[in-house]
Amino acid sequence: MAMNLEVRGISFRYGSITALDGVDLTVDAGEIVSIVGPNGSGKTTLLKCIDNILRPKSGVALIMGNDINKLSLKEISKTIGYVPQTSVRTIFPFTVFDLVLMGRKPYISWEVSKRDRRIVAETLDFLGISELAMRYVSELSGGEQQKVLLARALAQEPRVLLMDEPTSNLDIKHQLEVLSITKQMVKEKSLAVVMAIHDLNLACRFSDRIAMLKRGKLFAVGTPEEVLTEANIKEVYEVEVKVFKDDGRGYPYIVPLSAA
Amino acid sequence: MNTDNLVQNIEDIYSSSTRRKTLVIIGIITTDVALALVSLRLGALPITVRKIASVIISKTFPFLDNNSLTLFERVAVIDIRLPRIIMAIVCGIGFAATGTAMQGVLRNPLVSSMTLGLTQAAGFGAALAIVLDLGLIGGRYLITANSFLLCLVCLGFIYGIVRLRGASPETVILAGIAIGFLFSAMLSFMEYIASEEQIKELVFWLMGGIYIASWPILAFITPVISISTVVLWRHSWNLNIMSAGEEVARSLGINTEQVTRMCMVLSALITATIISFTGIIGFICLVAPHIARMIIGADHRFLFPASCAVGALLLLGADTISRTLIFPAEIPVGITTSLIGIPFFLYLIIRRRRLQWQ
Amino acid sequence: MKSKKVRIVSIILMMVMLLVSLPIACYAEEVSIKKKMITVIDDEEQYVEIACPPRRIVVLHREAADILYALGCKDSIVGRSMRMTTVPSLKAKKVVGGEAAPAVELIMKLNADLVIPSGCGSLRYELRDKLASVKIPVLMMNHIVGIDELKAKVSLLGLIMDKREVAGKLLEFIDNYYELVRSRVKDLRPDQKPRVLFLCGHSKSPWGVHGSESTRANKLLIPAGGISVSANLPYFMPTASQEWCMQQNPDIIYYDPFARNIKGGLESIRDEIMNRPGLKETRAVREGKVYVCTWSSESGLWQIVGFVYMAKSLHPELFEDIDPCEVKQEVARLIYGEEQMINDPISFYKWW
Repeated sequence: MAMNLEVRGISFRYGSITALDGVDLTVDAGEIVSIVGPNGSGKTTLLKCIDNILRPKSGVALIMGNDINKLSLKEISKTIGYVPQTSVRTIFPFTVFDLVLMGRKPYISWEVSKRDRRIVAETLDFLGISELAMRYVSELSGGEQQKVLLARALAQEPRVLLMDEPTSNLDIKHQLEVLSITKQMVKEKSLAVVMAIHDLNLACRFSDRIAMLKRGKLFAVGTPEEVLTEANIKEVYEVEVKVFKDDGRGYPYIVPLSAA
Repeated sequence: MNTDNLVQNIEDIYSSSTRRKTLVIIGIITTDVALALVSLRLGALPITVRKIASVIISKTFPFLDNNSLTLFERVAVIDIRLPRIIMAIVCGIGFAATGTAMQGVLRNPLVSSMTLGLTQAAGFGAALAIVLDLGLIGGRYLITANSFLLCLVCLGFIYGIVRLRGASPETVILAGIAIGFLFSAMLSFMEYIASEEQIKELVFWLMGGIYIASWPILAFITPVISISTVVLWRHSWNLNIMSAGEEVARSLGINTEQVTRMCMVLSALITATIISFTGIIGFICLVAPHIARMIIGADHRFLFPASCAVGALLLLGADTISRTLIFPAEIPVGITTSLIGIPFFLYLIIRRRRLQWQ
Repeated sequence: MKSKKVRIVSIILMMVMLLVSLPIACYAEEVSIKKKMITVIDDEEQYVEIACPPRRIVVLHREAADILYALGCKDSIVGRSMRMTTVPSLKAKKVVGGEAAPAVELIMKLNADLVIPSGCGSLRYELRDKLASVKIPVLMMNHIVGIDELKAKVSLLGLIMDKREVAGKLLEFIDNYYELVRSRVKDLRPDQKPRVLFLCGHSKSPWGVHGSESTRANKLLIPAGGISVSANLPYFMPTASQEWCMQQNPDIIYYDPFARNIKGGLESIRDEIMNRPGLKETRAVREGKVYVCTWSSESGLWQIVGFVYMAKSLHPELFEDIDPCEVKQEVARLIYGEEQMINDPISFYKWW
């Protein structure tokens, strides 16, 4: 199927503050779309509206042409996986396996089937964290925890994956690792990924397309080269930057100069 | 091929950990049963195991009765020891289930029935009955009915607030604590205007005890507690996922508000049912889930039965000590639970290198 | 240098002496104005100096209030606690709060010259300290339990109220009933005395018992010719083991509920006890010898009635001529004179 996710004119308000104002976006299978924009521009809100965690005031999100509001919570959760921004804050001692198994909830009523166990084990293996399976999540490093969260979302067997700042707490090595895995997984499983991200260089390197938000409005959307121009960044972030066409591996490279 | 082996390996490790947890639960339940049997043997009358068995057999199958037993022996086993032991087990289970559900759904390891203001409400209900002689029904269940009713009023308050402001853990806990203060202020006022005898009675009521155990009371509380506990247990998956955060839970298709309200109502119902008969025994509700979590981990599917078994063990153990330590006098079980439970609990905390809830 | 120090010290000393002598001088003057004072030792072993007789008494102690009435001093009472409503004249007095924690300012406003706090509870010590700071005398008095204690308190209050003669008559009345019972039971052999299980007060703890010889119930039960099976327990009012109670197989069961007005009456309480597993099988229940009398009938002047009631139910054959109801009427007349009671202070299950 060609098109996986379509967002049509979504608006959302927190009380009197407009967080999103008529955002349109289309994401196809096998594609990573990054959402960039300054703090408070509505990146996380957009993800939450897509996943029905927040109910938009107007506009709809369509999954393969179906209005998400008409789907049951269970159907949504079988289609969309959500990787939250904050690192794992389980209050109680869960093992990695238990936590990833939670991703199977939409398919489980009570008993864990052999298929559920197999999918969890395969996902752990796919992300290279098999040896952590019986460790407590709270004992893991930030990078490992991020992978566990990713694994849980993957265990949902979603068609669409929403990732909120997947790199924010990680060191450079883990940033690259997590995003590389994401990219590999998008190709292998033909997922549509929407990812909110702060680091523009990482966004350039790992996204097929970039959507730029400014105060809740879609400012620009397109390939990294089209969107991440010096003019756009100055307009949205109020920062002077220099954009080099090629960082040596064919991606644009952005160097901040001064706050405008 | 190699990958397949690895995957199989993880699956096996998980399956064996599940089996191990099941075995642990069976182990705790076995200990419960053993303690119940020991407890059945303890009492004022010297009754041999053989006689206990024949009392129970002749009660169950009257045609096997060979009339070798005295009336006192029959009454001691059937009407005194058995209801008391079953009451301790049932109440222990109820308290533990409440604590597990509330801590899980509110994502807070410090929550107990006190947090919802229920104990204070029950105390105030009792005070109304004792001091002002107010209540819906008269007679010997006046105090019980009153405290049950006031628990429901308290629940109504919190439910109303949650309905208006959303069922986030913070709202529930804050509402509960506030309502709790309200009821304890009203309780203080009752104490202020009470006569000496009434204060004595009130103080005694507030110390929990299960010496009121009898078959009619059990016939009332057992169905309420067992049904509610099973329903809470069925929410295990939801509780598991909710403890990983509200957003994740919603993205996994859980209506968190509904689950929170459901667990809150059922927990309040269990607590009200028990403490309106026993008075305040708050400690088990807090500690049984923690002990169980240390033994078996946080997966509520296993945590619920483990916690209930631990709760039953704690209350039955405490009650057995209560009725034997200074025989023929008895210690209120609320005191014994804390006296034996808290040192044990502190030992567990200190012995573990890290706290497993963070 | 040294002389300067000495001078400073001596000035300070002089000032201190002046300050000390001032109140002493005032005090001496005051005493000379006052007509008559009396110093007594209260139940906390404290010396209390009281105007003799006091004219403005605030009484939070029900048994003391009864004795004051019986001494004919009801007009000296100016304040009472919330629940003293036995007769209209007492009910008409100013309320200063609950028994445990009355409002100190109300007591001050009433210009009290004697306060008698309630007979137990820790809050009364706080009350005493607060009143001490405003120089209102406080007479600490425990609950008046046992005939000897009753006689001591009647004499004490008689002395304070300057009513020695009336007090003497009261003592005679008490002695008469005490002697009447004692003379009839004194020749009983131990095996002629019934074994009694005396359940106590609480409705919450159905197995609470009077666990020492000095509880209010046992202080009456034993002189009335009964054996209390729980009197040797090492605690004052413990909860007893249900099975142990059954094992004792008592001849008689008593229960003294705290509440004075009980919904359904004392009969409903008695029915509940008679149907309790563990008691149902005992000799006492089989023979219907289960008696109920309120907690309040075991202290103060009313304990005369409780004493007679116990004696009659322990040994009905020895006390056929005595009717506790009549004794109750007599005590009521003794305390309240011709005034009719509007709230019954005591009640008991009538079986004869």
